[in-house]
Amino acid sequence: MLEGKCAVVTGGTRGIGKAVAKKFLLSGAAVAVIATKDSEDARKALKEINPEGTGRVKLYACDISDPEAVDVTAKQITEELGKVDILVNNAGITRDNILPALSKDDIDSVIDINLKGTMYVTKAFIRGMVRAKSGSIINMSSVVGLMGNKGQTNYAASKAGIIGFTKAVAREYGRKNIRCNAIAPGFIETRMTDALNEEQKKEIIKTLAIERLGKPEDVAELALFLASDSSSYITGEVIKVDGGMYV
Amino acid sequence: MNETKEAIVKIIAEYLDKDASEISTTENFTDIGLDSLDIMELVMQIQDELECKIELSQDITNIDKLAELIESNK
Repeated sequence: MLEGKCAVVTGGTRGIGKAVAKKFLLSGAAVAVIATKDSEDARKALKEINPEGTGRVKLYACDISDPEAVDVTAKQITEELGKVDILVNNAGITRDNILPALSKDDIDSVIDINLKGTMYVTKAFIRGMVRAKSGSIINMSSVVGLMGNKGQTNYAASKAGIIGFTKAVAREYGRKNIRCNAIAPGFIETRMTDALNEEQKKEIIKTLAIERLGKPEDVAELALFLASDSSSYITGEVIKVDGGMYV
Repeated sequence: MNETKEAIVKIIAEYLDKDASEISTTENFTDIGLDSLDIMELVMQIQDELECKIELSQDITNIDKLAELIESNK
């Protein structure tokens, strides 16, 4: 589905990002995986994404909350892998606490990485897409950005911000054949949800129409659809992958 | 046509998927099919490619005037 395309996935060495990178690679794309650090874990993840070693995948270390570093990395990716057709803004962090207990750093870091990072990375690649007159941008929001969640005011704000950003980009660049959509995952089995104990997980599952936690692959399937030409008339959309958590 | 104007025409023609010969340098940007967002995007592209700084004003309405502005700032 993605033969000959080049994709960038931020936060691509863990959880949903890793599943998306793997899915894209298997679908024929060359994939640039952006991670905060070129660590042992990141390299291990890269092997898991590309176990046969046959796919074209490369790791780039970049702090996406630093716009200058983002520009340098974007240039490097374009030089090494070619024109970027697909961008998945997936990198995100949580710093959960009740509002009065959130420090300035808890607020800033979540907004800086989740929201501003998404904007910086999109900004760095959008002009290449404009020149190519095509592109698909997929922003990882969250069901929390739609419905809110106690203990996650900073995270919910960042993820709701991503939705506004997605819609504005869709409007600004639709005429350039660049689509921009958001995915709003619910509870997906990743390191973020590993922090929950079994009791908490059971309580969450009770609230879902489909009584299980989601898998990163459930999200990757939608990302593939949105990245591909199969969704060529879909833009500015927010699609939940939440097992009916918020209906 | 001087080099600057030629370069601008080439960039705009490519952007609009047209042949350079179809791009008028005297017609207003809007008349050759560019809206304000296109112009902002193109100005960034022209700045990069011609290594210049462009400060657009309301008076810069066509390619001739844009080329003159760039030349005068050289």
